[in-house]
Amino acid sequence: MVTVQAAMNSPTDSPGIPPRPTVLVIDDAPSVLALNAAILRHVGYRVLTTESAVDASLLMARETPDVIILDYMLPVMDGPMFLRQVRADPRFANVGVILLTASNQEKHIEAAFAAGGDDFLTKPVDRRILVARVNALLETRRARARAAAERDVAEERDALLREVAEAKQTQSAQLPSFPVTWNGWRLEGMLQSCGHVGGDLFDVIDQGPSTRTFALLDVCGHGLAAAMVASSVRSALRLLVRELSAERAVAALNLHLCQLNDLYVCIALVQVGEDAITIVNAGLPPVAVVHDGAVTALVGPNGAPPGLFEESTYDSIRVERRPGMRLVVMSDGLTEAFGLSDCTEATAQRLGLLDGAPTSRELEAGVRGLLSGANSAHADDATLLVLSDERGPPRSRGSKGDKDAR
Amino acid sequence: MHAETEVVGDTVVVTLLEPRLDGARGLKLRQKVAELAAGGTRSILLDLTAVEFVDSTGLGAIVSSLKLLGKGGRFQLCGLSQPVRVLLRLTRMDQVFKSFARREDALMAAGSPCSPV
Repeated sequence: MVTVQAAMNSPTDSPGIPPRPTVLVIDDAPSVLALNAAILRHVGYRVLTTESAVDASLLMARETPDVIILDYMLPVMDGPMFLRQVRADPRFANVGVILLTASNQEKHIEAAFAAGGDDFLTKPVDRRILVARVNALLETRRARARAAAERDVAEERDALLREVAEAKQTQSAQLPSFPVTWNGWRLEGMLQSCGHVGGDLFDVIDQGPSTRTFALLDVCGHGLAAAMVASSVRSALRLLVRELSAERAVAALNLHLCQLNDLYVCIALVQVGEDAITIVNAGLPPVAVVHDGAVTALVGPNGAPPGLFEESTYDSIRVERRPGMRLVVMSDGLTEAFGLSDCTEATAQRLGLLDGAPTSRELEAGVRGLLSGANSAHADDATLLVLSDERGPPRSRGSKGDKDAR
Repeated sequence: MHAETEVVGDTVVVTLLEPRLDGARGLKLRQKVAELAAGGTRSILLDLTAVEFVDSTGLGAIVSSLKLLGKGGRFQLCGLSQPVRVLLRLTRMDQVFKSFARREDALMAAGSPCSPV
């Protein structure tokens, strides 16, 4: 008579303790079946037993053992036939199978492996060898499972890194190419993200032959989320500055951002006209006006960073155009690294911006050198824009290559 | 975020014990204030004596804390280091938050009851 005997203990009886591995023993010889089951139970396995492959199939409709000890010679459906059926079912892809053969015949061993067996043992089975083989098979399965899980994590990480690299590329592609020149003005700049992508962004908006508005944005936070917000702010700003004055554009941006939760942006919006510059600085380090090798004015703050308070108001500062003048705009990633958010003048001096008008390439190198000696605990995106009036004295520095690239 | 809270009169004093208020610490401060506000606290004094650096997320958390208490609440600051004072000035938050050099001054000023909700 065929019997199906399950072990007394459920694998999930004890909460917090990992379930014991389950071994299904299939053998039509009751004495062998009982002996092997007893050996495996004795060392702590949960053991299920059946005397036929047919009953084993029924049992496996509701149980997935970790290991099967499968007799080669069984009535109705022999071991290899049952094994092929098991291997065809993806639910049992990770079940380890050891075939028991009555002899050491090569054809049985070959058939066992051909059907999908992991190992084989010849009868009579030594107790210690049976336990050692089951332990070894389970350990191999666990190692494979760990490797598969690690592979999954690695694949997920690689996919994420690819996405970040694409985001970085997209963000870089949105930045204007330097230098931007018009009507005797020259704008140079650089952006160095502390992560793969950043919350700093700048933009130059063309408003006719003599007018450009440029903006430096620093969104709260870092990384992808900040980059997404920066991109959305840039789009909104492009529309607003074409319709509104600089301070009204920032006020409208403020109302827009206040609709979104907990997002704000520090911004300097600079409208450069024929004879004057209008500046709105809401939250960035002071914008420096440089003339004759000295800072002649520091601009800001003209309002709270947009996105914090609906009731915020904004004003603007108008600066007359003077031959040879420069305007230096930077994000706090450049100033905070040296202790204080408002030390624009000292930072500009360190970068040689009071005495000359470096090219973007020179700015980049200067910032890299400057930040390499800074407090890395305060690492942040660092952006610098320098607007120069080229009608004044000749530039003391600059490369011909950059001019040619215009 | 390492912080201590102490109830003085109708004010809860939240003292930050770490030198930075940034990223995750900012979010935890916001959570803490949200819990206090949900429990009925109307007056909070944030003691920043130990804080040397506040980043944009930290500043966002301070502003959120003010908003969480609503118009009838009182959210004040004390013990601002120079970098924190500069940050508040640059962002014009020095015009939004009442701040005190010392905790005692703030508590004395907080002696008057909060305006009705």
